[in-house]
Amino acid sequence: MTPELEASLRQTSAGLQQQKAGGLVMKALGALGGALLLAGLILIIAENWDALPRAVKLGAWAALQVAFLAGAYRLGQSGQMAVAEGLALAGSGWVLAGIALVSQIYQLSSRAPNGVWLWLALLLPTAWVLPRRAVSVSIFAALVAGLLLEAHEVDSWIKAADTEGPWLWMAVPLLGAVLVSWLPTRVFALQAWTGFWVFGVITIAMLALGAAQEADSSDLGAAWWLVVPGLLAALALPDRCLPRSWDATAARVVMVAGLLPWVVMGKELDPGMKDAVAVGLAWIFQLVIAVAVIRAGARAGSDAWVNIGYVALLAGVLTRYFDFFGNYLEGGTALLLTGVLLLFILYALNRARQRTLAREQT
Amino acid sequence: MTRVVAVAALQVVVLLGMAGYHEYVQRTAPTFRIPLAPSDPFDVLRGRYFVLNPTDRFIRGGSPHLSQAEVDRFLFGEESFSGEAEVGFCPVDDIYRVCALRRPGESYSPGPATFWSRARLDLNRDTGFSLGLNLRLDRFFIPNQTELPGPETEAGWELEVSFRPGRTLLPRRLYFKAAPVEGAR
Repeated sequence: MTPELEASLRQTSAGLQQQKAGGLVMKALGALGGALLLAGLILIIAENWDALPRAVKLGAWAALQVAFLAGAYRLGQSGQMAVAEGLALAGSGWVLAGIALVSQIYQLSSRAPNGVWLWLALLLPTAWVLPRRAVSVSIFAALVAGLLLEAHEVDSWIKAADTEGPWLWMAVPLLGAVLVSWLPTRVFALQAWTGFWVFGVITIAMLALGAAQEADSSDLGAAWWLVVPGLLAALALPDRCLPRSWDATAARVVMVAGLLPWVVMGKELDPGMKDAVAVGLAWIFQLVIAVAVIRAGARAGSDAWVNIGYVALLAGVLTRYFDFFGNYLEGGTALLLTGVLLLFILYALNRARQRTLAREQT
Repeated sequence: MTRVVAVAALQVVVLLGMAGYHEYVQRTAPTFRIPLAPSDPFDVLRGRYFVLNPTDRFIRGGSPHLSQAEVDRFLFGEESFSGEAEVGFCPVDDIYRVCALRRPGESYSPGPATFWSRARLDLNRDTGFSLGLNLRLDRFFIPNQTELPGPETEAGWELEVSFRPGRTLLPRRLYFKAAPVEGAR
């Protein structure tokens, strides 16, 4: 690519960049407006609980619910997408507020997941009549919250015995993202969030396991019924639950390498060769998945994933440094050596990051 | 637009239907009071509420209301029972205490038990017996503005419940020393 061609392309695409940034700001403001509207209404009812008769509270809830959905639809039709998204978000949250309102008025204290399942059931039809991203995101939130609450209920058929390992925290959002991807309005930002969450959970779990070299029991019990479908769905359909910037290979490497230390370890970390191998794998694979994400981000032209990957790489190198040399570090020499090492790693990683981003741009 | 309004109407009908059912129960169902040992916490999500802790959630052998003979009859030779069953409430002064047990579908109904409610039981023969009872009366929401007539640690808290035959009890109103607590219903 010649410098002239590059300058010409940059000039012609400047408008597109601006439009993209402007769209993002409008969406964020729409979501913020919807969330503030929802929170404000809930607080007004709470602050005036005694002054508002039951019928007024319930009647106002019903009238506002119809207004939110009708307003979101009408504004969406007239091209006011950001405001429509804000109202759709308020309407989706208002359903949950209505369930809480009825529960509060009549002192109903059923199992917590039951309220969330009712929310999900009432939201689902909305996805087919109101094509708004906020509805899909709310359904995702309801599904993930319902499954996680259910896994913690004593009388649930998917009750988890212990939830210390990363299994449940990875599998449930992945399952939720796969299922929600079949709704009429698909939200790719949700897949990016799920990828960020999964990458974060695995990285933190492996850093903690590698550093502490101990782990509480991760016996999932009946929650395997939840974890196995979630992981299988994600491995089979990574394009439906993980960021578009990750190719299928990178997505599978992140999931498999991220869980392998726990597969080797089993339910608990015991002294012995098998679990020493698990800790060693956590050391190595934390770096492997960081590199996989950097590589996938560079190939897809995603600066964000390249940067996130390098941050994870830096965290991994520093954690290992303190693991190996922490006991020998004392006084001023320790601070000096650590400072020099930190600056050197920062320099080296930043050079590598700049090279990756430069290659990505060409 | 019609389909959007139809979905909104469905949501409204379901929730107002729930509200209507509970309104009907509160207005028509027989009521009685059970003793409590509440605590009064606050959290950001739930606001202010009583953790109800019905006094009869744990009963041990030697209870003046639930006799060893009644527990033996219920266990029918078994050492323990864990699961759903019905508990009978008998009048003791102005309130009601757990005094009888029966398995689901059992027609047994001893004289003094006036109300039978569904609950989860964990019953063991242990120095007589030990009974853990989940009546599903967990929390009672209290508006922030409500001034309680006494600290929750003081004796005398009671809960008025609505009775639905064969189903769980529903909380209706708080009482303190036999008087209803204004604002907490």
